[in-house]
Amino acid sequence: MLPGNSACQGCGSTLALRWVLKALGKKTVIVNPASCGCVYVGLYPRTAVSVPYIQMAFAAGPAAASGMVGGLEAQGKKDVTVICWAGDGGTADIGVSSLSGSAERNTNYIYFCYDNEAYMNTGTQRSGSTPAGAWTTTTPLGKKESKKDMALIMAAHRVPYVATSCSSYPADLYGKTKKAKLIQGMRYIHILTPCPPGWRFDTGLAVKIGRLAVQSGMWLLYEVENGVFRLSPPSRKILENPEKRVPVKEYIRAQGRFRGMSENEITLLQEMIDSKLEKVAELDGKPLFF
Amino acid sequence: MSGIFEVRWHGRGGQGVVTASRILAVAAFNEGFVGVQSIPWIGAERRGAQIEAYNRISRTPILLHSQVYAPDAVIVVDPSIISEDNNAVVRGLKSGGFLVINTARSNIISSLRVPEGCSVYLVDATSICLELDLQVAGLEVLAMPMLGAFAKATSLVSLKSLEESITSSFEAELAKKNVDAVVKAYESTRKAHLMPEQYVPPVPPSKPIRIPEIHHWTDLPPVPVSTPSKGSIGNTGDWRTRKPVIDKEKCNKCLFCWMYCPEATINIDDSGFPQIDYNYCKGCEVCFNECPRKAISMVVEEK
Repeated sequence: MLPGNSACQGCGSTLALRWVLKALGKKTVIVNPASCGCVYVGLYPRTAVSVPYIQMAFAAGPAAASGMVGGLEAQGKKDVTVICWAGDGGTADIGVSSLSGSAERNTNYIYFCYDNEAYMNTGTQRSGSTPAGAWTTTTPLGKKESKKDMALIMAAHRVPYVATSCSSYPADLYGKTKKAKLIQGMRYIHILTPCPPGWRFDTGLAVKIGRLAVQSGMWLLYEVENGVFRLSPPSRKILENPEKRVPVKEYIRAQGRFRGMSENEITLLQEMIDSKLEKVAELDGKPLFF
Repeated sequence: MSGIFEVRWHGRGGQGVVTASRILAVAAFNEGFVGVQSIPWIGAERRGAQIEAYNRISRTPILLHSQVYAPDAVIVVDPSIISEDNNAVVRGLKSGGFLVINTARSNIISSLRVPEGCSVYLVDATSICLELDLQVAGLEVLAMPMLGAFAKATSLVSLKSLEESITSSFEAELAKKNVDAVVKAYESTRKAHLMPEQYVPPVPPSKPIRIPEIHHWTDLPPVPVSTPSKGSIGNTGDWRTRKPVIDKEKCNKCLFCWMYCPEATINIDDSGFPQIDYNYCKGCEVCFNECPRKAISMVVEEK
């Protein structure tokens, strides 16, 4: 990842892509369906990433990656990692059919979803991944439906490796990417990446907001390896030490997009998170599905 | 006036161009024009990116719904667009048309080239916005005063209908501020007298690109391949207003700033200290907030 790209100031997803590429090394090919990624990787004749990179139509990212894997196999190149770098709209809404298809075929590539929780490149429109209560231009009073849990949907495809991460925890993201690189088959990593213009907070807080999301339990970091669910250290810490848990109100009130949420709604959300964490504590280290 | 009067706005994201174009359409309708249109044209939705907006105003309903290619009037909200490319602003402008410019920087007027017979009007919208504190998220809403200047230049819409249109789109206090800006601009707009050599033949409107017929794959053009390079969008250091400065006395080389920099502008020098590449640092302040020893301070940029 090279400096001087066209991402907004304080972009969480460039931070995530930077660490993913550090972990994967030079022998990597990126397939990128339409997203902010297409913009910040650059306009012809220059790009901001120093590995081969292909822009794809919105719904066709995983399909193109499958083709790429097949092509490399036919040429006998075994040391090249193919990744698909897609936004949450390209993953949860538009690209979900070809993503599901490639997971069912267990195509040998890594799918990264960087989740900024709306269509940010076109100016913040609601996506399937937008959390309830969040303002977007298409949900001016706050979204009523809850967020689609893509990572668990992918885990239900019984792929070898599914993980969630956050751009504010580069070490966690780096480790999971390194681990995914060694596994054969379809791997899926879902990264929460704070977006200053779309989430309405100061650019300088980009890392802090992501950390608050994890510390409050709003976003969980975990891995599902061969069907076994395991929490990652940052999330296990808040489970084992409830006193280190940050009230979700801090995370909500730090962002302008949740300004429509009332105190009642926040209390309700806190209760939902508490009960979610209880269930997660029971699941830790056990198979996720029957 | 007969036929359709077409207007093109040039500005940057965040200056209120699209809103002003919508207000103009409503004002023209209040004025008695039956056919009015307001069309935004935006590439990547990003603050600071060049954008355009269009208006069509007519006595009869308008059936044309395209972008405006041959405008009767061009409104330039951000003068730096003219210094970047004069022809981009006047392309397609009819001779005898109107050019309304925000002259925050007067040096661009002497280098201006306009089609023959055009009248050029000047207004200092930036000062008006600063004086009335007309800002949104720290950016001046330069497009609002331009409405007053447009009304003065073309006499197409009256101040009264502009005022009605503004009052219907903003809350009372905000509307008053905007109306004040429009009135102030109306009063201070003046006609510019250009040198004879500044009038040039009209620049033809840009034509759509023709795609050549392809019968065989050898007819295809060579595949365009981008090469990786720093600064793929230019020197992004121009974006920042405050720059981070590392105090080497306090720094303990923990490299958290290097780890969290979203832009990859922080490198490690030979002695292990982080070093910031100011050509590309966008001034997002992440390193300033994440430094555990508070060794980074933000200094206002001198430009």
